[in-house]
Amino acid sequence: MQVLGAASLRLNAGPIDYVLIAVYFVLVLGIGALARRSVSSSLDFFLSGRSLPAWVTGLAFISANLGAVEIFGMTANGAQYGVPTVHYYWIGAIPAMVFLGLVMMPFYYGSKVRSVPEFMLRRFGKFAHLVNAISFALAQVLIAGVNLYALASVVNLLLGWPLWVSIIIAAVIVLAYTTLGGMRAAVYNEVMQFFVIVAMLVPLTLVGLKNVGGWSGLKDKINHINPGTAAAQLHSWPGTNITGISNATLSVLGIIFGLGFVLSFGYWTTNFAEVQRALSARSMSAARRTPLIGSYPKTFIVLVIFIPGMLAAVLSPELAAYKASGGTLKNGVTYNNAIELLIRDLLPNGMLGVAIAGLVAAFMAGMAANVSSFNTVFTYDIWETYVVKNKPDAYYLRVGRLITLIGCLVAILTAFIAGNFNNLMDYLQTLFSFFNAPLFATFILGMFWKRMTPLAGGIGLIMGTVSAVTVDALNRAHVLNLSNQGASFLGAIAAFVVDVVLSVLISYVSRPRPEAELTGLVWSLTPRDALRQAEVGQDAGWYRKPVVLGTGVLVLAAALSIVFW
Amino acid sequence: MSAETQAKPAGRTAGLFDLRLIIALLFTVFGLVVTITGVVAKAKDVSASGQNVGVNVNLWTGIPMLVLAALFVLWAVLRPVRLPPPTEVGTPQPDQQQ
Repeated sequence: MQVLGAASLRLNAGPIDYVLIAVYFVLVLGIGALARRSVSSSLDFFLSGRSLPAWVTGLAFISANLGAVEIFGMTANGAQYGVPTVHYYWIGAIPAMVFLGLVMMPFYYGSKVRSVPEFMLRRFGKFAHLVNAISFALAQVLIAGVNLYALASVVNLLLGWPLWVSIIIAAVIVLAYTTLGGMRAAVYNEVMQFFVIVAMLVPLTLVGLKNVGGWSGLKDKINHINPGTAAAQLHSWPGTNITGISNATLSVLGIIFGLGFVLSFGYWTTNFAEVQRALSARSMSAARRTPLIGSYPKTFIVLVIFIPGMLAAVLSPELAAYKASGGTLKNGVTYNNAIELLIRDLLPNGMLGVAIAGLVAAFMAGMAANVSSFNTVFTYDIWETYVVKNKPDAYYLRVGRLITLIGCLVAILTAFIAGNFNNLMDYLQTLFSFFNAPLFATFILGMFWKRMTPLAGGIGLIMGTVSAVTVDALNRAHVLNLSNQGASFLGAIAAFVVDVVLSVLISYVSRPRPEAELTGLVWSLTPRDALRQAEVGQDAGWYRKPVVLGTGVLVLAAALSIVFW
Repeated sequence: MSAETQAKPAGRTAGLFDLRLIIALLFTVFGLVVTITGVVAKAKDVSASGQNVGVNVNLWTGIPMLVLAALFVLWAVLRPVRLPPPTEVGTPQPDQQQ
């Protein structure tokens, strides 16, 4: 049964498809080789010398996240739950990205820190810094392995290549361009990948819609096939199907506070793999505009992600049967195969090659983002801060290149382990997601409350994470009865509240840092000019004002939310 | 404002190759290959798995790809990369230092 299922997803790739894939990878490596010439210091290598224009960092910002996990995961959500998938974007990502650009970026970029953990070090000292730096570095290198394994299993499924071949080829390509060209190569490839992914998703959506009779045809089909759940699938609110909370009001609150406020704000504003893209921008204005420019394509891209998911669940007989059985049928497909099924059924040779290149590129860009943020945090925050201090810059550039190699080797190892212990890897990934919500609470308190102490920063972080883990464990032990996603929303809320309460209590009984050390890190102690950007030359013009851009995208997301209400 | 009026800074900026032209190159190749495949294919509306999808996907994706490539070239020609002023990179502002 399993073998049959696997074979049914095999794509009919022809010579033209392989030519297109090869062209793509020649360019990927070419970018690495070209970018090498611009690397002459560690800052060039880790943050591309803070020189990139905002449109490049903005697209890289969303592309670093538009990896395979998102493409497969969110099309799967679309196939299973339908329209409520949009909440991950319009309630989740967009407000968080606006908040990052408008409120938090002035502190990150203005304080000239080179990483998010380094901000932690300067604001809260070594305890919180070590907790943050080590957990982040470890998470990134292991997730790089998970990405690598996911890539290999998709290539295996679609093209029939053995797992180890794809793991090694992909790791070598990522290693080549990230060690050669550093951050600039990673970012340029992410931007290129963005356009290839769009070139895959848009035709898939349009052809799929044409075949089902347009949006109204899709709605009719879903009403006909899933009469019981059609209403929940075709309206974004109250989203009871994604939260697993049957009470409509509580479900809405769970989405807004859990997914929207805590989970997404935590992820987008403190995850260094994302923030690093903005720190590579060439000016304060460009850094603030990075998440804002990224938020516009992010608002629209969900349309070509959840709609293909819904299409796959009606157009593909296998997936439709799986869905009709409530996810119990063992016919070799799951919701995660939604995009692969659409590609197989709808694309001719030629576009098939573009689609495969796009998928593989998405995995590799995800892995490159993990690797390039790992090497930065390892070199600056662990090696330079605690192990070998005060060496010339060229030394840290060498360390950066070497640790990139080691990181890729660990990722390969992780990928092979992941193949044997699938559930363990799932759980690890969930575990790392627990770090984000308390981080956000700690950062936001720390940025706006000068009284908050180093001890409060460290303990708040640890106990916040513990509470998120506890909620997850309770749900797994069936003490709570929530869907997986509902549990992660609740866990995030718990982590946030525990972190804030503990941080406040501990701050009143421990000693704060002297105010002189907190200039540029805390709102009330920072001269307003240090948080403002120059608005001349390439940063001039009303349409480049962060507030205008941020307001614009919020209005856009609100308008789209009303359309899909 | 314009790069031409400035002395050409050495070293650092030599690597500022233009990403827009690389994207244009990629989509020119993709667009040409896919469009030609769409024109010459025997069964034009049929997917790789043999399903009739009612539209020549290669042709109607290839043409927009070529348009996208042309737009990137146009942008790169109209707004060439301006070299950053030498003081902007790598030197922290004095007022940021403690």
